[in-house]
Amino acid sequence: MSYATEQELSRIDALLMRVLDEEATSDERQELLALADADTRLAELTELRTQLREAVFAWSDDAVEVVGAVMAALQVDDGWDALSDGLRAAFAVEALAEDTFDISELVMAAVAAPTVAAEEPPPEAVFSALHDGELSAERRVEMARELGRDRGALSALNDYADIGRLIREGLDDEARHADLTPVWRGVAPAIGLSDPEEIPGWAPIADAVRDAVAAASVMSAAESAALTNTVMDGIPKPIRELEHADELDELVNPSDLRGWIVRLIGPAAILALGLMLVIPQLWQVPEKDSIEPTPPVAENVQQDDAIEPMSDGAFADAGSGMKVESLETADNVFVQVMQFDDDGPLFLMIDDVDEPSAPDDGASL
Amino acid sequence: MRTKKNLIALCLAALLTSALAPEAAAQQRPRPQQIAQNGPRAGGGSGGKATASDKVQAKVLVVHATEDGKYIDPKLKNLERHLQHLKYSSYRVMTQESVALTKDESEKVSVEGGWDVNITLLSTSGDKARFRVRVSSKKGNLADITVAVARGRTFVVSGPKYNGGILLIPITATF
Repeated sequence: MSYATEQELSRIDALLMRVLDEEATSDERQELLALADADTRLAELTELRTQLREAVFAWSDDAVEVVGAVMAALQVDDGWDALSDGLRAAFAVEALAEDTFDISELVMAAVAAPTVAAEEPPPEAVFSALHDGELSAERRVEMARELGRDRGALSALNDYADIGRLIREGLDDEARHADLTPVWRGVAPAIGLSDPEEIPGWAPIADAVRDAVAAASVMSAAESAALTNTVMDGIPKPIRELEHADELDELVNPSDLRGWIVRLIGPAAILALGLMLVIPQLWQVPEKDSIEPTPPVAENVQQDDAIEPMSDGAFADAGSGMKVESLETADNVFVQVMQFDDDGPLFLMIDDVDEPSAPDDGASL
Repeated sequence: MRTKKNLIALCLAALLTSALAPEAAAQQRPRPQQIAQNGPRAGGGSGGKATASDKVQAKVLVVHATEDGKYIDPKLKNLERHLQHLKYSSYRVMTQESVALTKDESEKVSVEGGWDVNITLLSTSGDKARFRVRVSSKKGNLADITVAVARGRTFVVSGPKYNGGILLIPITATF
């Protein structure tokens, strides 16, 4: 038996494709037939060989089927070899046992995937597993040696640590902080505890604490002072102690202060009192009349015309040389004082509300 | 001991002086009643007869301002730029007169619309004159305004409604 080698099968396949594409030369066609005749499997198929020869030299629409049959006869690997081998073995067993049988197990055993070498996980997955504590001790030791030389790996581990910290912080922020105290009060009676606050085994400890406190309460004054000093000595002193307290006493001697007050402030106060009595203008609030060089015209107004003052100095512009010193109006009379420009006139717009209405709306601008 | 005696004397003197000081100060300040009777003091303070230099010329115009058409009277040329701020577009001078006022002297200007404008020269001081302007209508006094004006400057009394507009009364002081 002579089977075509892999290279010959590849060559046959390529030549068949060129035949199908009608691109094969005469030599290629001869080569194809020679390769096919050399294979025992195909040589036994006389009819197929005849069809192949016809297809090679006289192209027809059936050529495709012929090519497929040839490739099948040559058992070109199409991915079903394992299945076919399983089937063949099953039939062989059937022939021996002549009994019903389930071929599925035999087929599945035959087509079982070949052992694939375990792939090395990507470095990121290894780092992640190392960070999560999922590697064995041996692997961790091995990784530790490698990490010392791999700055990228160290950076990746740091990133994983940061990500984990951020995730924990995020979860803490989002987590709802529920007070479960009331729940325990409900659960405790349900599980047979008469007092929810009771802590089993705490009673002896509580008794010891109680005895210690009672003993401390009967300490003598000396013992209490000693305890206090011990406690105070253990507290750090943030404020620097005064090194020369006697100098401070000299500075703040109360008797000396009183002397300075009598010597300095006393005469000054008496002098100020005298000046205030002699010159009342120094302490009296100055009246408006004393400020103005001339008395306000408001005092010169005849008051029998029901004119009421609005506001003194309602308008004053020293820069423009124009000044309204006083302004008084009768009831229902309004005066607008305006000056649009510094060098412009001063407008005194008088509006009498009681004035009969006219087509114009009065003095308003 | 001697110092204490001097101090006591000083305090007694101060008390006596303070008791007399308010009376003296009150005598120095003019009382409102006196101002009303005598009139306010003039800035020059001469107190005698008015001289030519005390006279203040007040040019008084009566202007009819309306929104009909666009017109500025030539006599208002110096005010044209400032009148543009008002809503009116037509300004026609109806009357014009010039009054000479001495201190405390008044002049009444009657304008259309039933208003009277009484102008009193209160005082002159340097380049400024103080006027008292009393505006009245048939029903009585409307406003009493005291205004200080620099030489050559104008103040405008306005308000009476008249013939579809209002009347403006520019008063310019020259002295």
